[in-house]
Order: sequence, then structure tokens, then C-alpha cells
Amino acid sequence: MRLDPLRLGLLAVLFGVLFLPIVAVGLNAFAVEWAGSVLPVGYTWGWFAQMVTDPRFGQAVGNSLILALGSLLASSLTCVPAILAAHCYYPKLDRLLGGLVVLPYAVPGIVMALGLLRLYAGNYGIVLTGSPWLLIFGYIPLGASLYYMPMKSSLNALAVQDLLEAGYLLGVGDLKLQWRVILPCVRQGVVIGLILNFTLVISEFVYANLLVGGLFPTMQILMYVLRGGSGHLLSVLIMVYFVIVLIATTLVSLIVMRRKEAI
Amino acid sequence: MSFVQIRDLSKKFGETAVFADIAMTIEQGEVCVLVGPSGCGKTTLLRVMAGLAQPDTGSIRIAGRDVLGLAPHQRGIAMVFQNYALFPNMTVAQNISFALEQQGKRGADLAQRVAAMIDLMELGPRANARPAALSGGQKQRVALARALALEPQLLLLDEPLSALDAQIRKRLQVEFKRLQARIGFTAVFVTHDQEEALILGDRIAVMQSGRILQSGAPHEVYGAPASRAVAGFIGNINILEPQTVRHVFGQTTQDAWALHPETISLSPTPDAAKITAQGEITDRLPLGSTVRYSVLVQDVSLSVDVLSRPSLPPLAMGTRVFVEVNPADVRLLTD
Repeated sequence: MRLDPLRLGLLAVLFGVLFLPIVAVGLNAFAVEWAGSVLPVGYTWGWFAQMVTDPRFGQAVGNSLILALGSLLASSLTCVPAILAAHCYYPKLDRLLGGLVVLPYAVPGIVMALGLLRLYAGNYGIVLTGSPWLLIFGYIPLGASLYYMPMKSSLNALAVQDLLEAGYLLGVGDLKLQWRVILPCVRQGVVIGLILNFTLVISEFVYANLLVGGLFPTMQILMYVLRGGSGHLLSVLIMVYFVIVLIATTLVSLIVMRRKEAI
Repeated sequence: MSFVQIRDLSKKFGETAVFADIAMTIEQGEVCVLVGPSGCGKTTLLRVMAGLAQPDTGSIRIAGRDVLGLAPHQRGIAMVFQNYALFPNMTVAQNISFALEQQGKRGADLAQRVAAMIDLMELGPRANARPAALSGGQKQRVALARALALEPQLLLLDEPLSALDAQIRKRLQVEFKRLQARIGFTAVFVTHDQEEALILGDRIAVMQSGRILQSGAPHEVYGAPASRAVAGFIGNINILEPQTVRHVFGQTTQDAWALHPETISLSPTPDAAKITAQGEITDRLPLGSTVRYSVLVQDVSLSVDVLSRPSLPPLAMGTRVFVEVNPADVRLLTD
């Protein structure tokens, strides 16, 4: 397709607007000094070295990854089977689930956080206060809708009932049918849910701060702590965060593309 | 004893009867076609036979065995679904082998059987393609291969050709007949297309409103419909009530007449040996090998099929003709 100069110009402006903040943050992370000039005055790895050697950095990155991976595991193990079961076997429950998954976004964050604190403060026999488990389990309701929408879109494109019945006639049980047929067919929806959940958890601040705060500092908490200090160090942390999200989403996208080719 | 025996089978959804008092027998190696309009209960009957739905009353015996208490896969039944229900994530070969794996087939035995089915259905070049890359006709053949690979005692087919265009459907009907003659499987084929039923069935069961109105060989059902409903559904039959017969042909009768369009002939002069009446051609529909005329006789329109002949030009609209019926071709409807 041939692009005319106007379209090319519009695309350039769009990319510029989208990438300018990232480029600026990146430049600031390497800038010796950047004040009163269009571009930084000199570049250095010094801020990176200072950030990486700060013990809080390693702890924050580690905590964020533990939270992200832990919550991915917990949410995928609970949400994916629930969505499949509701769609395939309990249509009434599926309608209810469709309403429930948007509920965490309809409730203000502070109300949700207080609810979670109350739930996990021992009032109902579960004590998770101050531990990362509170966040891991707390993120499950937030993540449910991020699995629900893309998975439902994939499931709606399948004649699930016919596939299940074809399997029953062959003597295949429900678990095997889900594992060998339905789940591979909705894999793309699941993977999109995984990416969305990962980015949600690793960039989430409100719940992390309200529920666990300084007891389990994440990258977002450290960014909050650094906001009053050096802007260069904050830029370094933001760039590391961008790189982690970029690597994770690229990896998952590559896996999806490879699997799609196989199909 | 018949190979498949269905007795007093009834099924309700809530208070609505889907079908009632179904009784049917199918001999081994026979293709029984269930034909009827949409919503008459034929697909539900098929699902009950497959074990995918439970009847309220009745019994189903296959090869002398009562199958109603058995799970679908224990009934010796395979099914081809209307939308084929091929597993989208598996190739043609994998769809067939997945079915066979459930029967415990492994290794060389499995590979040999899959290859044989692929050969039988002439799917060789598409063996590694996924269903999304197949044409409708190819999908239909894969679904049939997957079903036949299991060597079922009874094959059920739920309108498997309805989604295909007319040309492919006709070709696959011929292929199905050929395959059935070669393998000799016993099958129940559901369709709403009466022409397809007449082509494919060794036996036809006409269903309407949850009941089998008539069952028999295609020529019996077509040639001698037992009721107005069957006559109305099978073919484009002229149904004349007794008073209409009197009005049109001047004949006295207690029962309605069913006149097949191809048994009525058109002539410029009356034949004393036949039942005749004079009318006028009001419409003409070329159907390829035949021409269907609408002839208005005493304010009653009759459908008449006349063989197309290149040497004879079709009759013009408004032509006055005599419609002639051989008394032996009159079918009486007693219901």
C-alpha cells in the first residue's frame, strides 16, 4: 500500500505523541542534567548504576514480579475454569458472571480495598493482613473481567455445545474435552487475559498502597516514594518498568503467533 | 426382528410435546430418512436416539439391545452434525484419530485406520489441513470419515447437506449413496428437503408436529401418500376435495383425490378413455427436464409437469387444452 505524504505526516504525529513521553523519560534517565534546554546536557549511566545498587530497587522489582506472577497463577487457575464451566454448562450462571465481573470496576477503589481488608483481617477466619497473599487474592476479582471479555469473545465464536456432544459420542469426558478441544480453541482469549492481568498487576498502585503499602513495596510504591527526590532515578525506575512490560507482552505475543501458525 | 426398533417414544419440553408415540423400525444396511418441516421434532428424535437427550417414555433397541439406559458412546452410534462439529484445533487426520484413540486404538493400527478413512473419503491432499481451511463439502466428508471410522452400528446424520449450495449438495448425495452401497452402513438421515429424502432413503418417514404420518419405501410414500399432510409435503401434488373433483371433472367421489403433476397430460383433443376437463394455461415454469404448467380448470388451478422436448415448443400462455388423467393414477386420500 502506498502512503501519501498527508497520511505519512499524520502517522508520524500520532507516533510522536505516543512515544514522545517514553522517549523523554528515557532521555531523562540518561541525562547528566536536563533543565532549561531542549535536550539534556550530557548523558550518563550513573543514574542506572545508582538505582540498581539501591537495595530498595531489587526488592521492589522482585516484589512486583512475585505479585504479578503469583496473581497470574491464582487468577488463571480460578477465573479460566470458572468462565469455561459457566459458558459450557451453566448458562444462567454465565449471565450472572457477566454482571459480576464488572462489579469491581463499578465500586470505588477505596471501598473495594476496605472490603478486602475486612474480608482478610480474620473476620471470616482468613488472616492475610500485610502479606502479599492479600494482594494476590485481592487482584483476582479485578482480573476476572480481563479474562472474561476476551475468553467470551473466543467462546462465542465456537459451537461449544456441538463440540461437547460430538466428544460425548466419541466417549470423551468433560475434562478431556475442555483440555484437548475447548481450551486450545480459546487460547488466544486466555493469552490476552494473561497479558492484560500482568500489566494490570505490575502497574497497579492504589490497592498495593492501601492493602500492603510499605510492608511489601512494589515498583509502583517505590515510584511513589521517589517522587519527591531525584527525577532521574524515577525515570530509571519507569524505564525498567516499561522494559519488563515490553518483554512480558512480547514473549506472550510470540507464543500466541507461533501457536496460531500451528493452527 | 428389525435391526433398530423404536417403540412408543415420546418427548416433552415442559408442557410442549416435541414428539409422541413414535414407532419405527429400520433394517440392517438400510438408510431411513426422517423428513419433515422445521420444528417437527426430527432432530430431537435423532438426539434421543444418540443419547444426547432423554425421552419421557418408550424404548429404543439396536441390534436387539435396549440402549436407552446407556451413555451416548456405549450405544454403538456415530453422528454427523448439521454444522459438522469438527474440532477446530485439530487437523483432518487428528479429528479422525482422536475419535479412534477413544476406542483404544494406538500406534500402527491407529495410523492404518486413519489412512484408510482418509483414502476412502479422498481427503489425502487435505489430511493436514484444519477445518477452517476446508470447503463445506470437505468438512462434510471429514465429519463422515470421523463417524465411520468408529464402525458404528447406526449412523445418525442431522441435515448434513443443508448448509451446502445446490450443486455440491447433489454431488454429495450421489457420493453418500455410493458410499452406503459400498460399506452398507445402517443410517438415519434427517432432512427437511423432500427431494433429498426421495433420493437417499431406502425408507422414508414423514414427520409433522411430532408424529410420523407415513413410513415406507420412497415410491410408496411418493406414489401413494396416506394423507393430505403427506401429499402436501412430498412433491407438488394436486389435492382435490370431493366437491372440487365433481366441479372440475364431473366425477362423484367420497374421498379427496391426489394427482401427481407428472400423471396429468395435456392434449388438444379429449381422450375418451381418460378423465378429462378443459382448461387454459395461465403459467409456465421451465424446470430443465420438465416444464411445469398451471392450468386453470373451472376456477381451479392444476399443476401439470410435461417432459421438455427440443422438437416441441412449449405451450403458450392462454392456450386452451384438455387435461387428462388416467383413472389408475388417481390416489384417494381417506383422511
